Amino acid sequence: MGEDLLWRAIRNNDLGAFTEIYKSYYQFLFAYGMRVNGDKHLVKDAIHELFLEVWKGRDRLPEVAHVGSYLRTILRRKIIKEVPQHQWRSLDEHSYGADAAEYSYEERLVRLQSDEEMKQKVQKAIHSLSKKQLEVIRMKFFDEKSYAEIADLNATTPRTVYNQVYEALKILRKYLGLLF
Amino acid sequence: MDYLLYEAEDFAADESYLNYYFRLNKTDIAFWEDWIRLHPEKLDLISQADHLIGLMAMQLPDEELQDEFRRIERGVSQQSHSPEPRQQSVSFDNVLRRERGRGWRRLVVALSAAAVLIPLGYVYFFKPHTDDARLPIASAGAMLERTNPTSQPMSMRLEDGTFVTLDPGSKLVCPAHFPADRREVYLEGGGFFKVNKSARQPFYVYYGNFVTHVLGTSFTIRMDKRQEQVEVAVLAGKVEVYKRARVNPEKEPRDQGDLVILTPNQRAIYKESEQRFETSLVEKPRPVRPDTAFLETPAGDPGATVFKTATLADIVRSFEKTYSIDIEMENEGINNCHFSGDLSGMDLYKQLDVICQSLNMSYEVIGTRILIRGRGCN
Repeated sequence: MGEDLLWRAIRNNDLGAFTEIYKSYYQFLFAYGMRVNGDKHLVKDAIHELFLEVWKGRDRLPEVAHVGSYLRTILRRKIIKEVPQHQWRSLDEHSYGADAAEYSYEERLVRLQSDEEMKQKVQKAIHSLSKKQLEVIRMKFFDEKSYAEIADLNATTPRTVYNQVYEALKILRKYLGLLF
Repeated sequence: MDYLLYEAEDFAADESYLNYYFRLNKTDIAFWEDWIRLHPEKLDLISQADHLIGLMAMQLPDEELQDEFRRIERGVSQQSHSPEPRQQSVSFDNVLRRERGRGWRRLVVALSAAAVLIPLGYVYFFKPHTDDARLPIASAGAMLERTNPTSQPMSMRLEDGTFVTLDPGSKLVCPAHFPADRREVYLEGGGFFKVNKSARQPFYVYYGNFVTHVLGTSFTIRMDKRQEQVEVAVLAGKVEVYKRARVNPEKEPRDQGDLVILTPNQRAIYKESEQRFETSLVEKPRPVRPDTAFLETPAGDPGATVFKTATLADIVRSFEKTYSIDIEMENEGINNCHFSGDLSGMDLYKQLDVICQSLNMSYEVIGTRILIRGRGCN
């Protein structure tokens, strides 16, 4: 079933459709939430609330063109409302790491982990990457950019970007290898 | 691009693979789903690649995701207000199964009734599946359940490293932590398993009213479309399949017909109507290990299957080894026949077709064996 059909099915009280939307969008929303704010507990709570409200108000759900972008917009609003302005930390694509008060991509990766041991492992792994390597990893895996797009932004060739990502992954796997 | 030589980081850095992972491109999605299905031996690497990507892409760790899912499940079931009261008793997860056959529908009814009376705990999810009161899985501790609500196969790794690919609409229930002496999971629908070897922790898959006892291997379990029979097919290793009443297989005598042991390329089909297992060969036998001793392999093409005036005895021995299937000759003279030809890219049955046709012979699949018939050569 397509997502718009599922969405309409929720309006018709279909719990199965709701489950399906929840499961297929969770990680998509989570990654987005982590981009808006690096606090994973806050992001988890916001997504939970978002879905509870969708189900509670299922008879009043609007028609939407893209379920994903609709959910992202509400999630963003929720997260912004939660966080007092002075604590605001945004992970803007180009300004990340510029402000000492905000969480960088690497901090977010570490904070994401459930247990201490894993946190330390991830930290160690990330620290072994060069600044450039971490940047291309972020662009490739977090911003979901193509090699051509990253190459354009960095004024280099896709092949070079690929090699940078590949080398970075090799290092990461070496450090994280025991986990898998 | 030779994906067979890929390491985990090669997959994780591959643009086409990432398009599949992030669901960005339909062609790539179709290609990789196919490729992964055809190369079960690469599942370890694929899952390592997925872990690597998931980590960098900031996905919520799996165990926390399961917690969140249970939280929304509780949240939704606690909502007393409902616009259409008649739907109230529908529980969260079982709606997905409503398209299934009659047996499943009965199950859904049982689950819905349970959902009204008690707060939805995951333990209750598998209780109604059993025909007897006894739970198949030691019920101590929390249970995890994973459903695949998507239309694509969904891969996951269990605590012990076992790799599972759930078919669309299927569900796996397992303890949050396996006890030290056994690993038991509960399956609905169908799936592929690649079980990590562990002699001290045998692995059991409970499915309907039968049990698959795994001896370190990979295999699939699924129900046919008409839901009248269940099939267990083995890709590698060895599994033992028996009916559910045998709770402790070590202590009971084993009767013919309700316990079968399967080796690669063999399958057991359990027919509900006959209540017994039948063994046969899988529809498309796959090479278990390549055997090139008798092949004239052109340089640089290890996948080629070319025979040059090889005796049938040698060819058959090579097939037996490659596919782990017993092949018998109707008479000794067949061994003396010679065959030359290029059988590259053909599956086993097609190869046998070509050989038999050129020598004016025939073959027949009888149970788990293949019999070659013909007059033979001098």
